Amino acid sequence: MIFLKRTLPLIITFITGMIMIVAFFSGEGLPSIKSLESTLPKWIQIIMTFTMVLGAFSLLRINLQKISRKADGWGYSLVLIIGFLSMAFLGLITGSWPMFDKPLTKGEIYYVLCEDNVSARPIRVIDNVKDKEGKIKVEYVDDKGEKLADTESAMIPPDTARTRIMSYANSMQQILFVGVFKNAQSTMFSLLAFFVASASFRAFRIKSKEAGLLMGSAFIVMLGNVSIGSLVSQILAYIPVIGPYLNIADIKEWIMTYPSSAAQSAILIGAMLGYISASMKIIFGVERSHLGGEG
Amino acid sequence: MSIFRRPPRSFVPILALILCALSMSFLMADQTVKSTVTEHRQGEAALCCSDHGTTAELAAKPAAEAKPWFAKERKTVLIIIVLLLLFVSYFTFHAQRKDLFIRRISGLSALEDAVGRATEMGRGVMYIPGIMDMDDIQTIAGVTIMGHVAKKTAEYDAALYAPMTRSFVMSVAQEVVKQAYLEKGRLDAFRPDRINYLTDDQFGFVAGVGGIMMREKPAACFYLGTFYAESLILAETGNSVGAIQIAGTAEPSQIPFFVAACDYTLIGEELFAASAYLSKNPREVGSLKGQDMLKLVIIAVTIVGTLLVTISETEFGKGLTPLAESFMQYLK
Repeated sequence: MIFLKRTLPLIITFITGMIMIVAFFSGEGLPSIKSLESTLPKWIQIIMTFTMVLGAFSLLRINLQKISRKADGWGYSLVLIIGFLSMAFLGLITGSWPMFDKPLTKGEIYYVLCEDNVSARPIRVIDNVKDKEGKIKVEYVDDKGEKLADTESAMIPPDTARTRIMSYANSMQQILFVGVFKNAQSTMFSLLAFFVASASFRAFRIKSKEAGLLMGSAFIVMLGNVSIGSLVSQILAYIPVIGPYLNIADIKEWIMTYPSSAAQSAILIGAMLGYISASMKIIFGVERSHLGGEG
Repeated sequence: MSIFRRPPRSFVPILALILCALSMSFLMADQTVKSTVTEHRQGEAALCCSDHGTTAELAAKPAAEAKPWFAKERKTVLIIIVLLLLFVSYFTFHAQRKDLFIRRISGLSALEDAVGRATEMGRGVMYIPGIMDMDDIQTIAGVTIMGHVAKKTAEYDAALYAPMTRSFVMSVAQEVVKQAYLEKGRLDAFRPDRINYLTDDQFGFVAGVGGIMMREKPAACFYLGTFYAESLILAETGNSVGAIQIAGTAEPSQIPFFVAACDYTLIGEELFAASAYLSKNPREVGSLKGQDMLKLVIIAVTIVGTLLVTISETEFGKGLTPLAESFMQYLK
């Protein structure tokens, strides 16, 4: 058991780590080794795909347990399970609809998705024989199946036409994905604006020399980014001797180009050394805490 | 190389054999490709020798155009790695005989206090090892520190909540935390359902974590790993529930947010130094010292290079221009 849990992962890590290092430094004279540099990351993607199943099962198990025990906040778990199952069901149905749908019949009414990706428009198949581009001829009709007066026949790819049930499933899936999920995502992201304001307020309280410097430089950078900054520069220009040098936009540019990027470079160099060192420790088995044991 | 420290009798030869077999197979594959190409070119040469020279001259052409086995443009990285290995080996050897000094890192020193505070307040601890998968070295560093935090929560009997954005990380984290509780003899207190997967989606995860924070009101929050736009949302939510917060990331763009919103922040390399700092393991401390020495070398090279290039731009340093140019070329 120890062999499978500790020794085998260490051997695999060591061998793959060494191969990747050799592949990284290999030139064009060693094409099969060089190609591993792009091949192995694809293996990682495959493994990661399998872990999606692990995540889905874990999510369902934990939340179903909460519901069955009526634990605190089990209502949230219920919402999660309903959302999870309905999205998975609709996604599977709409994603693999050609497997369930019949071939298109001439004269029958089908539905195509509108530009908003939610609502569907009825069409009638005039000719189900594909042209050179693989499209079929259709005409737009109303809900009763009458041809719309102001429209002409059109050529559409046959896989965009769906039956009534499939178009409902597709619309539902799109409503949940675009109407609920995407909007919820945007809402979370927009919260950032409020949090930036509250965090800045706390960070800019001058309690020490460093906080004072931070406040001062942040004030200049903010001023340099808004149009009132140039007005301030014009006013400052009236100060004798040093006035012409007090251009807020120039000072802001200097802060961003030199002190800020120098600090960022220093952090990056340190981090990169940390990356290399940590990778070496893992490859050689010095660091093994991630395997569940002493480092 | 600690995997060879106490190896089973047949372990080292087997490993060496595997590596040799792999290398040989790759070399043979490349050699086969090369000989096929050479034969093809010799055939072409025999056909057109009257226009472009003798057969012997053209057959020798592939040898002259032989592609390099080593990627020359990566020589600087190789030098850095070799230097790092030399420094690490030396200091690891040195650390086993003498205690090496590590400067105090406030964020890591406060780790125990944060868990203790949560215990006194009767509230839990929240730990987030970033939002990336196990192929990210920052996530591994985050999971490593999580083991140390778990030991403290096991010791103090505090609840540990660790919502995850990747199922693979969840699986590893569960194992690490379980081992920590086992080592402290508190396996009965280990709750795998508190180390749970939420979603792979960035903002979906933030919403989930925010909800857990508002409901459980943890007294200590740890954010150690790779973070992007969600860093500030997490830290501000943690701040709003009155938690003591310790963050660490090597993402330069997120460090200011953590500095503004958290009580302690591990900046860049400090995240990777945490394991050595907390375990005081001589091998890890040695590698940390080796890393510091390399940093010293890089600082020296930066200063010398800056002076060299600056002086070469002046009238007095015209003679230094070729040296400065070759220095710049070498760094590229």
